[in-house]
Amino acid sequence: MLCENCKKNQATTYLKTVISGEAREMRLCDECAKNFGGFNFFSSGFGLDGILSGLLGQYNTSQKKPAGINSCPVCGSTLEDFSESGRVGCANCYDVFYENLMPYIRRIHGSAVHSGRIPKRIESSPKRRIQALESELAQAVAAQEYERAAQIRDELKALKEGDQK
Amino acid sequence: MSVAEFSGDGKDIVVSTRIRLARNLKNYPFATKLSAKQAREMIAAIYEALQKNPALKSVLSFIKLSDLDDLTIQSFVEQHLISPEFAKSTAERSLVLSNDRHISIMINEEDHIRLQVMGTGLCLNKCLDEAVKLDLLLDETLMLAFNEELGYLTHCPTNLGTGLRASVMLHLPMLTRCNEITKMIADAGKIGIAVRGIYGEGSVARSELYQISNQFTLGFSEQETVERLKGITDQIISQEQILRKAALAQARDEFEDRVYRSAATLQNARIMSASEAENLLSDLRLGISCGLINGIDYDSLNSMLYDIGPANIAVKNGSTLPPKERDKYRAEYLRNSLRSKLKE
Ligand SMILES: [Zn+2]
Ligand SMILES: [Zn+2]
Repeated sequence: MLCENCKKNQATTYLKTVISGEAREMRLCDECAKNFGGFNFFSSGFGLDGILSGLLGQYNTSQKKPAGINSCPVCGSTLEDFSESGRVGCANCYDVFYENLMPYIRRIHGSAVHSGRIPKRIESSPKRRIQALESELAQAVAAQEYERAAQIRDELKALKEGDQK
Repeated sequence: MSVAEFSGDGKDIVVSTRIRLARNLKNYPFATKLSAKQAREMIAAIYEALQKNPALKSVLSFIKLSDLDDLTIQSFVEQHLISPEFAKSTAERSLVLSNDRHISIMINEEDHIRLQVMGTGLCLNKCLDEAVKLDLLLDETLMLAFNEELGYLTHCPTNLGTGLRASVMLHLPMLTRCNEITKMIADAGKIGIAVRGIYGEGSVARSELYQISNQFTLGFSEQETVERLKGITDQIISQEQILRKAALAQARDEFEDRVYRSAATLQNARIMSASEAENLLSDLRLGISCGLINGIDYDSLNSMLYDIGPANIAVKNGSTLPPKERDKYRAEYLRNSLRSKLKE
């Protein structure tokens, strides 16, 4: 059996490890066994895996099931699946298991509110437009640009009326 | 799109820059729950979205991974175009590559889309701009999984938010040799920056190369993420430069001896393993940056780092090469690339 990493030397070592949340066994040569870690070059957490399984351990012990829901209706994943793999089954899982996932997500990122780019369909939604205009309005008032402020107010009024229809 | 666009400063220490975005399609389950049929459908939808831009379409290749032989796949791993996980996966996978290899898009890796833009030297903003352009193109046709609170939804919660992993590969021989790396890893970790040896665990990196990247993706905008990474990278670079100057001032003879010995071996050896070559090229890079060696630029040196990989050597010289033959071809390749070029 050749080493799974370099495909060059004879494999001498069995290595059991967690890669991207997945338990895996690998057959490696001496040299690659020493250098093991190259496998994680692209992995999602760049070294977060260790922390992750630690967190999941804690999470398991305090696991609360959401009332009445055992699995995601879209993909069939359960919370047990998540705590085993560290991965959810589909986008909908984040809604279904929201209460259970949030403390975990906060512990990973230290924050739990997205800041950054958003898809166009959401950026152009009336709710987002209103939020954006409201902050523009506040800026215009602060800068005493009353003519501009009045324009924004009209735009806001139209948007809000349109929203109610 | 020209190569120069994806090139930046600081090439004496910064080997390369990579920007990666993770994206998923709202109407398909994540990788572990995705059927082969769904995967094929999804791949087709993503191809279509990317082909909407004719200029881009003309420079992209759309590759079904199952059409490639193992050696070619492995050579892509060595060139950092795909992840080892993607190479090993048995699922329906596709790879979209730009002709100049600066863009690579893995379809159906851990996330439906792993989009990567890679450049040489420190060029975080240029790579991010290009990645954003590609993201906008995908967003035009595809319904991307997104939630206002959690941002772009990903298979693993560690990538939620921007789905952005920004990273730079740094050559840090003096920090390594002075045993400063462990401390640096700890300090960087405190502010959400991960430092990893390229092919090694933590503090022992092969060829003294390290990957510096952001750990967190939720709560920081793309711009903030890139700026923080740039900030810490600049600090690491200046520490490495201080140590290089000190070493040259305090132990010039030993320093020069090591660099010139390595250069001589690279130009004369007949049998060379990949790891020996990586270590010698590390000395050579250090020698160039300190003005001891002339005649070769950093870009050529960077491509050499990829070319000496076992799979890359085999792809170029015959796929059935036994390891010892590969070592001979590697030595020959290095002699040809460096001899008659290097000047003291
Ligand atoms: Zn090996
Ligand atoms: Zn689900």
